Amino acid sequence: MTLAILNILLAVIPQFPLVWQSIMRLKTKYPDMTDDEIIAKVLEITSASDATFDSIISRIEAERAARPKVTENK
Amino acid sequence: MTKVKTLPFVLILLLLGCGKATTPTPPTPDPIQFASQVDSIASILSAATEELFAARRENKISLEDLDIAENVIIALSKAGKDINIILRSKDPWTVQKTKIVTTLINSGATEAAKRISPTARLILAASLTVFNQISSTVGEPTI
Repeated sequence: MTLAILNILLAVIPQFPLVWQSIMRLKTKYPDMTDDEIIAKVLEITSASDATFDSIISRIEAERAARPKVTENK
Repeated sequence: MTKVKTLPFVLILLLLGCGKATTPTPPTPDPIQFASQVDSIASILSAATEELFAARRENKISLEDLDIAENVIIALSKAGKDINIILRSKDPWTVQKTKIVTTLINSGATEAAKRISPTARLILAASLTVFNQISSTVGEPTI
């Protein structure tokens, strides 16, 4: 009887940390980041890309201003 | 006696079991992942813009081809900025995704890209690939 219980415990207990982690991952969508942290990170990335997009548009506008206009695009 | 003999065994197995649990990499939140993709397209577009100007200086593309390619770049850049505004909103990802789809459709990038010359398309290849990845993420048609 004792051995039977022991066998069950031996089978289950080593899996416990993995099972616990799976439960925690289901419980919270992103276990390592709060909503505020996600928003802050998005803000950081989008600010950088916005600056790049602005610089691209300005660069093209400057190039266009310095050359003869293309009247018709076919 | 049996209990005493098996006890160290049990302890070793328990310790091994705990050690086996590696921390899985948490999934990157969708808005962050998407913002990073948009950031990639910004960097690639910036490089492609300079490449296009260089190609024009070397007469590899006509002025008209350059103009068409620039229109695509501007359309993609404006779409990128609009997407960033959506990503910064407090809407849930499902709502943001729907708005991004609308932005991509209205950007005109797909239409403009149809007229790009083969040489300019080659220069913009990486940008278009990333755009297609972004588009596919939200289930939109690709260029």
